[in-house]
Amino acid sequence: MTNHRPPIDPSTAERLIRDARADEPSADPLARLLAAAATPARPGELTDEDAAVAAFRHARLTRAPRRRSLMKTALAKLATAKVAVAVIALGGGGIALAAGSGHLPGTTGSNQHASASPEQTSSNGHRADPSAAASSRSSHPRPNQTSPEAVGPSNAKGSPSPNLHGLCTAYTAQLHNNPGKALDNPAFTALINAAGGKDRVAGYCATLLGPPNGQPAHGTPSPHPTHPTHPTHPTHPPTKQPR
Amino acid sequence: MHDEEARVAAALRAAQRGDDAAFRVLYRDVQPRLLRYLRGLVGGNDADDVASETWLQASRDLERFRGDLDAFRGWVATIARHRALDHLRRQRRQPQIGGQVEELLDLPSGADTADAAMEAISTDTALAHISALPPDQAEAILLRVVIGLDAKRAGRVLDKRPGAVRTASHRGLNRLAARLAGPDVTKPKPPALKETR
Repeated sequence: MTNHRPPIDPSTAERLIRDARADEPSADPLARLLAAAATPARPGELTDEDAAVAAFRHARLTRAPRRRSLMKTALAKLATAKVAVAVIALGGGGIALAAGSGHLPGTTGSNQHASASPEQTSSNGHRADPSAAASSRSSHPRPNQTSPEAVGPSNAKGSPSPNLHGLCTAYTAQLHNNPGKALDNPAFTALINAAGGKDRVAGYCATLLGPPNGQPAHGTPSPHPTHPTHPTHPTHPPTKQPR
Repeated sequence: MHDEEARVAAALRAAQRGDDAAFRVLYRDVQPRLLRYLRGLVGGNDADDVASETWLQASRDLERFRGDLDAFRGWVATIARHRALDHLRRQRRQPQIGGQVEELLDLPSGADTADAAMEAISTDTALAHISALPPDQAEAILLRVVIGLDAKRAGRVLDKRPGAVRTASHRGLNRLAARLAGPDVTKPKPPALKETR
């Protein structure tokens, strides 16, 4: 407090905040200040509208309706890229995917491939923390069957898009061949779309694949529609949080 | 006011189904709130960019969002906050809140205060005053007054209890009131971050 003035009591403070958008002119300087902060849009604040709409349109076009066809395209490319072979070397959920590629297990498998696992992915510094993926989706449970919970290894059977699991396995293998460039392969477009962005694939796959023994990851997110606390990266160091 | 809320709430639903025009309605409601909040967090120069990143992510995830308009504003604010903190971390900067107001604008002098109170306070001036508060107070007030969240939702954005948000905003309002009435309006207190760090 910088000078002497009767303090505002808590209920008055709450009322001032509530009334900031009330459209009722006040003579009180503080009420006027709050109202000024909450005025409707000013022209300069909407200059990026067209760009935002374009981004919205793009997001919509690359979303669910095309997911299935993207998946097919991706899988075809995946087979020719022989990434699938690495999947076989890994075992796990990618068997069916790899079988379609016509390559026999082990033809190009290397120690490097064989050693690839989600666990090591995370220990290599890639973001494979299941909580990252969990928090990124915590606010919006997916009605369709593309979330890790829905297509996890334990219930891949009968899922409409089990191939995400294979893509994740392949991605994990690629990560060791081409760290940093793994997702440049167009085969992973569907995976990137499903994860919601390149930067989320690692976390998405970590959740999807779970520990190497094939069980779903611990702490599988349970979406809370009314609790959108952390839709994004939860990785901020506490020291940078404004307080 | 209620009509407008209902209109934007309907736009949220339609935008979730992919309606461009509805998205515009939603954007026009939320973007000004977002920009003003982000100006407090990252400063005026970067707020536009961070807001764009926020909308990019929100657009991508909009289909899967569940909740009403208030929940949506809180959801977007949370995205914005994380984008802002990422941005600051990339730039190895501290949150803008609590500093540099004097560079942004001319605050009314003490002698002008009485007159200024009768004039329209500009949005910029108001935001500068709020942003000059200690960070927790500034952010609580921005989320509640500018974004329009109740204490509970603001608490979720900040990962704090509603009571803590109310206390912070209450203290902030007291400070603002003192500053508006006080003789030292021309000299906003030094940035709080510099005091505490």
